[in-house]
Amino acid sequence: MIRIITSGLYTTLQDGGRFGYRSQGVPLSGPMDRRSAALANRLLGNDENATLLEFTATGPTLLFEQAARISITGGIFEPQVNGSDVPMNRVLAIAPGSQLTFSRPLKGWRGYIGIAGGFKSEMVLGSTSFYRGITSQLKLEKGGQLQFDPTAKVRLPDQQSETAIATHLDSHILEAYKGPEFQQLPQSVQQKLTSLPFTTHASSNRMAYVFDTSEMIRADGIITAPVQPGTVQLTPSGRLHLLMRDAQTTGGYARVLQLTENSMDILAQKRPGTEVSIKIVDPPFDIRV
Amino acid sequence: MEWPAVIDPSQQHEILRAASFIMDHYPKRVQEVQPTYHSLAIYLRTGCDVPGLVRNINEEMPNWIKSDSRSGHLVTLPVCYAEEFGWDLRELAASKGISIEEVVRRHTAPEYNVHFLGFLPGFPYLGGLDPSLATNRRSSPRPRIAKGSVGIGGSQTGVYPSESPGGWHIIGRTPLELFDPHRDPSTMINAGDRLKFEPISQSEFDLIEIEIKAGTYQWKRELL
Repeated sequence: MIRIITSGLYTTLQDGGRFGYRSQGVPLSGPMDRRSAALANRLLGNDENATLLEFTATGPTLLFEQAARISITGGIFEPQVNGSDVPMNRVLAIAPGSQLTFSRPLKGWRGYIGIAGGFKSEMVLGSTSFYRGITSQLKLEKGGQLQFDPTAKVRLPDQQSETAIATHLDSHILEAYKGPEFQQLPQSVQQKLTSLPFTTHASSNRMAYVFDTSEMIRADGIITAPVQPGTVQLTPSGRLHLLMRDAQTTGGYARVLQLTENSMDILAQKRPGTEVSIKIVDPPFDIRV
Repeated sequence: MEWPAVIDPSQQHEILRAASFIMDHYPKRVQEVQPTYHSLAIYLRTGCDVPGLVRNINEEMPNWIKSDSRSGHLVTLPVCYAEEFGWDLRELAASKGISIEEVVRRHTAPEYNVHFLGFLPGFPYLGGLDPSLATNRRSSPRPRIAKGSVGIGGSQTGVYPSESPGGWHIIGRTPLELFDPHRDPSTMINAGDRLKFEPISQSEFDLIEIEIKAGTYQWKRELL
């Protein structure tokens, strides 16, 4: 068992996501930076979708009551065990009674803690990912506990090289496909979308990253239509909503772009006030029916 | 898949038939679908041969979705239109120059089409609001709308299945749980159903809440 001494700013458990319920209006959820989350699990020999801990901006302080094998990936939060630096992106053996702490992020915005065998948590509609109204917990709370199987062994230790890992933390270019309403935008707006730098807004969260475009560009609303993680909406008031893992399943704003999966991982590591730009790429096949 | 950009009940049935055709016929390639007013999102499983699936759908589906088969339930949803729950009822009635009773009469008269669910888990998009009740959304959304609240936003009406922020005008509340992830099925109102609001008093509201807690409440649902 692990005691949550402090919870961090917004710390949740996530697995691969809640698939199969979108037609009931249930969002997918899952890790914001899937690449880092998959790495945390892969290092431990877990299934890539095993339940792990995601934290944002501020890491939690965790007291391990039992020995555990863990991995830490994602943003650079300088993890320490009992006050001594420990490396990221490799398997760590944690002794009983140890306390895990984090600094403010030097780079990136979200961190992941994987544990051998995955964290144990309530499974609702096929997933452990926290979501309001679905799981009983919305986020981890100070004084709470995390459960895991202390007998779970690390399988197939993967000697992933650290340099190959963190490259997406430095990228500031988001690649996107043209969305269903892209062609309806005036040429000037299309051009601004892919040439202007945009700044991530403080209200960004697991549902969406928001970019304020200062009303340089805008688009009329649409009849409510499907949206998914990665959909980029342009609102009548000139905001871009880049929908993330907890996005609703339908929306009434123009769907001007669709981010690639890689670009969602890049964006998930951006703190408020970061400048990014968007580049249009061709889809891997012609998807028009 | 796209249909003409209109909100139309017969088109809606075609989209729902396409949705169930695809889920029934291509389960190995399609993970789930999301119908809306004039489009159907088809979410694929990893490794799906997309051009092959598109070819199959184009060849196999068109005749099938033209059939006029339909399924679904007529669901009757009890709603208490007391001002304690209908925060904007008085203002909305005044803006229309009609009585509160008349707002309730016009809101409970139609059988609404449940076009699809979206926005929040279990949130039904309904068609069929009396045009005389259509009201632009509130200029500033409320941070908290109570669970079960019934509202009007533009030409739409709907029910908030959980507490959420929202900009609709709130005219009543249902004691029923539209969405319960621990109930099977989680949603009792689904795309393709028809929905009728039934006015109830505050004491009936309280009674139904007790019945729900005791697990004895029976939803009013009949096959169409």
